[in-house]
Amino acid sequence: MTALLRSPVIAPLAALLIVTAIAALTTPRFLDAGNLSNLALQVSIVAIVAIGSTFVILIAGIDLSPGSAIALLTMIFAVSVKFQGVPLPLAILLTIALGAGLGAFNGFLTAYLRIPAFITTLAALSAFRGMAFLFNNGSPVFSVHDALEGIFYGTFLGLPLPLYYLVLLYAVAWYVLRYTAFGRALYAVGGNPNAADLSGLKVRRIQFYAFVIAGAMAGIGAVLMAARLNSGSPNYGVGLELSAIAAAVIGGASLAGGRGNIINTVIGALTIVIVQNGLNLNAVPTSVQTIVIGAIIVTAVGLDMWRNEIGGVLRGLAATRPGKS
Amino acid sequence: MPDQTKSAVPVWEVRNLTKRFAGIVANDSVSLVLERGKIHGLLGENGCGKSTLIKMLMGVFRPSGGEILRDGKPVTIPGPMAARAAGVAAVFQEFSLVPTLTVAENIWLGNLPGRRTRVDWQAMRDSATEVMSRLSVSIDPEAIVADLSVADQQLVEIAKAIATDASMLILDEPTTALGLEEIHELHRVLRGLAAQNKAVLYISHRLDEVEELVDCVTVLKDGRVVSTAAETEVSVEAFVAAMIGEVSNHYPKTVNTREDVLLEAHGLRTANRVRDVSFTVRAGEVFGLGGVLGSGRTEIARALFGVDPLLAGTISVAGEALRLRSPADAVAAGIALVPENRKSDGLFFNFQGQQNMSVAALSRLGSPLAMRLREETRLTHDLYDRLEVSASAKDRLVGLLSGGNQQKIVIGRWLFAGARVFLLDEPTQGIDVGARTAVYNLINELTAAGHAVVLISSDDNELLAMSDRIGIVSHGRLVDIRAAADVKKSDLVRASSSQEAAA
Repeated sequence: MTALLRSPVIAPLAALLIVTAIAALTTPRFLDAGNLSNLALQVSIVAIVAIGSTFVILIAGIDLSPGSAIALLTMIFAVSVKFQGVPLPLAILLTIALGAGLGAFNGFLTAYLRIPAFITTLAALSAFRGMAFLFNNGSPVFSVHDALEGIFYGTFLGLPLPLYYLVLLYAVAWYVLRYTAFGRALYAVGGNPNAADLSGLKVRRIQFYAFVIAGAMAGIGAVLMAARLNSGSPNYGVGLELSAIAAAVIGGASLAGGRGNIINTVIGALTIVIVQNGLNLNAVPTSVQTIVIGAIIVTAVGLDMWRNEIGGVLRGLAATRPGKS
Repeated sequence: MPDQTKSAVPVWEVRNLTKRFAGIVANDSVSLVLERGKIHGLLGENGCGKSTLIKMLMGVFRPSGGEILRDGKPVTIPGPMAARAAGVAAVFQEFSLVPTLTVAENIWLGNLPGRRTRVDWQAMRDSATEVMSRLSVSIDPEAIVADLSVADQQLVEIAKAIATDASMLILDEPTTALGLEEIHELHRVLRGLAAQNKAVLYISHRLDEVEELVDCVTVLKDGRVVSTAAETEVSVEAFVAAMIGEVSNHYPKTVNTREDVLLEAHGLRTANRVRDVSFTVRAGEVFGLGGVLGSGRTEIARALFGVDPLLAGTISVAGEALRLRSPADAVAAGIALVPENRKSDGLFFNFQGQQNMSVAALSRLGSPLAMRLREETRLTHDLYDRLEVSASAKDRLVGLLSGGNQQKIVIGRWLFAGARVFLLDEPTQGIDVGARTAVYNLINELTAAGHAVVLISSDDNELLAMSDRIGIVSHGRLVDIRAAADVKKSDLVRASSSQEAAA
């Protein structure tokens, strides 16, 4: 019991189970196969972007720009495919690379010019969206390519393709964080940049690459977003950064850096999306939904900060009971 | 000597104070008496219960048993505010000052003079000046705290503590960051406070300093008083004997110097005040750097480790000239730095000891794309045994470990990395006697293996005993290099006073 309480997965998982239970109990439609499949589609983009948010949060940074980056990237993607005739596979690779480039821009300003990540990416949040409006006179581009929707709506063995992308990317991210020197260095740099420097780690380079990865995830998110609606629009991705950061934070990633777990991030992303879905099914207005999300973020962080105290109280209660449970 | 049998009721007394935490007795029936006008030392190794005791006096912990008496009457201290109101003031190793505010604002923070929303700035300045004069120090109440030296900040901290007319002043490791002159100044201030009829409870790891300052000493071990104020003779030897329970060889120095030069520095100059520093360290040799805090010893270590770029000069290891653009280059060349400030520059508090030790040499775990974590566990557990890290410390976040175990882990990082040149900056600062001895044994082990050690220490006895040769640093220059046997403690003191004169 106590070992379970101390496990880092338990709190986010409990939160996920609770919101799932509430959603299932309040709306019979929640557990429909159609709705569940819809959920998988909804969660994929948030969860993939949240990989990037987690990497950046691990180095004690923050990335506010992926929503805007996605808007810009969907526009570039749509324009290049529809009007410039760039072949679809090449355009996809270019979009992901361009996303990495946008991340490199954030990373360069933050890691090498030492402008705080919050400021850099806040500026990028504004600038990237502005740039998105420079394409196609600021109008959305529809019907980009006939084959595009298949990337998002296709299935394999009866399961939607985005689920495979998600599992694959999370498996890679998990492996990188656990088994590569780079992953370990991310934790070290986030935990104590001074000590990391004095241990011979190339601190700035590691910070830089965390942003590059976040940008590449935004690039993948942009391709999926464009495929989902077969279009590009400067208005896509508004508020996505908040959902992605919330996913990481609900998953227990510390904004102070050095603490976080990628599996928990996907749990956090699921939690956020299920809450939104449940509220939607209950016809709760969007305004109230955003308030609820805010409340969840604060609660998640609070519970995480006080986990030790709460655990202590529970252990105390268990200890006062006679016999073993 | 005042009358020993005086019948006056002591201003503060702790009687049979006990504190239990889930299954652990942190304080077991501790009693001690604090008299007005006396400086009372409280000694003991880390984990002996000192912190628990002062936290009960500060109202942070509630005692599980026993009582605290003021002027002979039992008092309860339910919280920090109550402690302050009862006349308990404390100064901790970590500062509680707001660096961007002025001295006067810091002193009165939380208790600003004036009515309702308006602050009476003039009254605040005047009363700050008055508090400073009680300490007989001259620090401008208008100065911004961040602009003050560490020593002056410490004095402001004390001024803040006594501003509300405390009858007991607790100081927990107040001298960690201070140089010799500054310690003397602090002692003068504390004696002055004692003369003003305050009771002072003084905690420090630097036993020579305690010997110099205090009137009596209580020694704790495993949560119990092992030597009461009446019993403890005020001498370093007696302290050590009481703290570790036996008289051991305080400095187990072995001489391992070999012929070949391992580290050579020639004409080093950096923008960070290092001027024309040249010296060599042989394999197996401990080269000590003496001098006051701020003399440039740490800066020399920074230059050797590639933190501050060289403006001039050369560094070579085993005859090979190095170009150090960053610490990464120094690490690659086999140089190790155990930094002065373990907490801010040494440890990763999000890691356990294992990851803390492997971080400087992850390449030992195989390909950077496929680290072998089992290998990491195996290698670091071997190191735990070699460093004599206590078993309970192995699988815990390093923040939960004692200072001694933490320091062993920082040193272990460089054993793991296979370093050949060890720069140890204040390696025994803030760790207990037992762990100190372990660090000394490690230094011997390093030199026996043919490694070179550069030792920086403000503890003169330690520096003299553990070094083979000593370089005296003043104003970023190496002014003298001699065999440690030819250096007397007074030479080090004189070097610091000459620095004062030159400054």
